[in-house]
Amino acid sequence: MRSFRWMMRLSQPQAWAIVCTAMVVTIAADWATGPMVSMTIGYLFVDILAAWTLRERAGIVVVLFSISLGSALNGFGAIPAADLHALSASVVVWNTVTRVAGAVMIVLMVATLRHTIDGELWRSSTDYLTRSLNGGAFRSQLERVAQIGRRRGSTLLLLYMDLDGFKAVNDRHGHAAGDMVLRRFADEARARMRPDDLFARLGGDEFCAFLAIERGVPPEQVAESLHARLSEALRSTGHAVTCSMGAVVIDAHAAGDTERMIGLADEAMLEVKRNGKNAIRIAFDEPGSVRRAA
Amino acid sequence: MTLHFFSAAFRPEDELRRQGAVDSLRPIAPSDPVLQELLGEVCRVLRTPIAMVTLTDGDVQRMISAVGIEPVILPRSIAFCSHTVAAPDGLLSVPDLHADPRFRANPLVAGGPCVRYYTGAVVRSGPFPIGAVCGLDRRPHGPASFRQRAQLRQLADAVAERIGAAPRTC
Repeated sequence: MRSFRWMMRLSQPQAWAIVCTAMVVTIAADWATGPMVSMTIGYLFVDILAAWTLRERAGIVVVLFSISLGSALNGFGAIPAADLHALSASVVVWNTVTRVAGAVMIVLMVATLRHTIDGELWRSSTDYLTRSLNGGAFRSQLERVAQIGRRRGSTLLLLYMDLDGFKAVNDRHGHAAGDMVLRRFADEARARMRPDDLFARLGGDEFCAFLAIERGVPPEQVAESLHARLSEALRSTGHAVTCSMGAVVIDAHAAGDTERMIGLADEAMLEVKRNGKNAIRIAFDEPGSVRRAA
Repeated sequence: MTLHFFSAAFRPEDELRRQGAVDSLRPIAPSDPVLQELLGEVCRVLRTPIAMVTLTDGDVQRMISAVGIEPVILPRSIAFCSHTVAAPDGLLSVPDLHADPRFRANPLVAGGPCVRYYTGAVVRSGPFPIGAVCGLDRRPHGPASFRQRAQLRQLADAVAERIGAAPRTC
């Protein structure tokens, strides 16, 4: 369900705050309605919420806490509309234990589901070999980084990178050596970027990056410095591999259109392919021409 | 939507040791009379109104001394002399920057000072290219002659000696 998507993006303190609020509301409702009205649905909601946002351990803690509180309010082992005094001690224990066990089972299932979804989301957006984003995830996150750039008033830098001589490494030294080169390259690139920046492997030996550059730093120099570091990392692998880079400097205020930015990345790619080995080609996307087009 | 690309020079292979050679230079005043005289000679040889001595230092290019222009610090990615530093024969001459696909879209050519002509020779400290001596003009020139190139190389060596670079080993 789309309406519950926002719950997957909560931070831990936010999730705890929501769980505690839901718990307080449920207890207040349970206390106000008295023991004759069942509030199981409220308690179960809090348990599931905790399991979904905070996983199994927090979920079990919340289950134990909510059942002990509910029992204290309504009487241990109580069932609504049943005479409390007619329950024997063993029935009370059985009822309480089934309640706990039932709630814990639900919590475990919800937490497992959440773990599975998280794992699948990661797998579907990540390139397994280099642990960077894949092309699809890169496209879908472009807009988010552009927004961050607009908010901070920074310039955006779109980079297309292609490894020269990579195929020869695969052919001559085997795929394990080639994979090592790719991983070294990706690790170095990610180490030079901030958590908000995007770095993706588009497939083969092609990479793409999208960075928000703070004011006062020349973006073209960021590209050149990054190229120098990446070349150094490639050289340290001991193979004759170099990096060709196409960079487009984009004014954040003009970067509203994701399709347009993908077009710019394509142009950078074509420029790199045309220019051959170990070149850095830089272009400025003129905000003036964007305004005319818009 | 057409983008205009320009080239940034890539860095020499032993960049770390090259940077070491740059760091070991002693500071020198931009108004140093010997440097100014050598730059005047560069202007005469290349017939340009602007000449400068640059140092490629990490991510930037610093101008140690200049005639016809105020010394500024430029990002290495757009500086012409970083191409000269990376050139295998240590000399770069571009008769018309506007006609060269490497420089046509460079912000120094397409806008700002609108430079059209560049000829520079590398300044070495030992085996390392630390910077360049160059002449610039806002109008295009013909290709630099053999004699101009040879004289510029000699002037680059004289500048290297003046700024305290290690003597050439090759």
